[in-house]
Amino acid sequence: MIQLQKVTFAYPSQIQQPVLRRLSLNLRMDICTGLTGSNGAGKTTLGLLMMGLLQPVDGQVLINGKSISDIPLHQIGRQIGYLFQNPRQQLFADTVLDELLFPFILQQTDSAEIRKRADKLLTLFQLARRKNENPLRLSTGEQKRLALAALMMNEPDFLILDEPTNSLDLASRRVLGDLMTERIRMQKGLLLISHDQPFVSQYCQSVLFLDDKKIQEVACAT
Amino acid sequence: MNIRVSELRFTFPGMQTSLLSDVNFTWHQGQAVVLQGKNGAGKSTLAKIICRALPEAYESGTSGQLHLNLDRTSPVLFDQRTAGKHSGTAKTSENPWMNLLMTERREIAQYISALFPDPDLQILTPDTESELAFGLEHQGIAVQRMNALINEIMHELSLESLRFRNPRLCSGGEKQLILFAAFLLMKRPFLILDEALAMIDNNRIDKVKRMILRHKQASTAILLIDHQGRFDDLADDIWHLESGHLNHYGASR
Repeated sequence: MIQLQKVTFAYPSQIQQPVLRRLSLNLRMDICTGLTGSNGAGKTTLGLLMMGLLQPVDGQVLINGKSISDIPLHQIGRQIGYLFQNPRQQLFADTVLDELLFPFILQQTDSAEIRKRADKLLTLFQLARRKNENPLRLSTGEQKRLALAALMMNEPDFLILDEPTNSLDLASRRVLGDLMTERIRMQKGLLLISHDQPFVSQYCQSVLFLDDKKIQEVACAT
Repeated sequence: MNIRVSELRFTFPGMQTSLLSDVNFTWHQGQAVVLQGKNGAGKSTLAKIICRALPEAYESGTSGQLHLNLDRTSPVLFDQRTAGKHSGTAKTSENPWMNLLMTERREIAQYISALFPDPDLQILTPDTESELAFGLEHQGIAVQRMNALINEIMHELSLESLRFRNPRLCSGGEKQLILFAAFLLMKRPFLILDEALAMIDNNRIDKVKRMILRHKQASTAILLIDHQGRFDDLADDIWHLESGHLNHYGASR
């Protein structure tokens, strides 16, 4: 469970105008939760707080009962996969394949099994043909698929996906949807930040609406 | 004015196969087109070639004809392969056809504006008001008129609270709204929106669509690339890129 306890957050440039004010929330990590709300409501900010990439001005964020400020970022990263709105912010390897293998090569845990996992993910995300290409040469939709594939390499317990369906074509949406269904079956949940109403209502078991610094549950299918 | 592209073929340097092969279309003022196609089909590449934002396309790997008809004198189509170095520009001849492959980017920018998926690459100024003023200032619009235009569009898109905020520090959807407003204000005859509205929330998308429609009716040519199908009902034509070919379909309306 990810818990927000009376979290207030303001960006340094806007310290007088908090994006979130005394927000409390319990987020189950075994289901798929949608997060919607108007532009500028603070959805991405909320995602970054849950990942420990931003620190609250007041209040605290807990992951499984432990304060996020006590967990090293790399440990959170191993547990939670984060897809940024702009996939280019998380692609840096020279080739598509290396994008998936990078952390394993770094930790010297690269193995035949890892390579097999990478091949499987590249095939799933329809990138196998392009595995030797530079990620920056891919189209926006392909970059998004690559970032998703790279996230899945870690087999994270939880995912936070910020606008994952933007730039995805129909076939890729289906791949992402299937992947989410599979994760729900394995009780590995995710937070889906999105304006894509049809996608959210098709795949999320619970939907949160963030507006005017308040959060409310608008639908729950389970 | 219209843009006519014929037999366009483009291959990225170092690639074996052409991304675009034999693409043909005429895109005219007042026409709204939704360009569809799978990821990697070449939609953004095509958009970038039209507005000369893809340097690779002008060095090598491109063939075919891309012309902007400025409706000046009688149209005489000429081939870029045989044209002299500067003869492609309308300025140096009486020819109304501007050769898009051989014209400077800054000249093309007077006619075609294009917004791309990543707003961070197109934000230029440190506050929203300046961002909206930027294009207008460069057109030499009088201050009073400029302020009125900015106020009007800010009100229409509910951007007032962002007026003095740094667009770079705004949310993804807000960045896209700010750039959309800035580009509409510039009123170029041709407007390309490449996944440039994808992060805008459902409350404001109807407003955005009404504004696009209004500009179309005022004879702006619109090219929309969008995977969510949110703009299909605005389209006069649907173009579909597949295996390098552009197929034309009537609108779904």
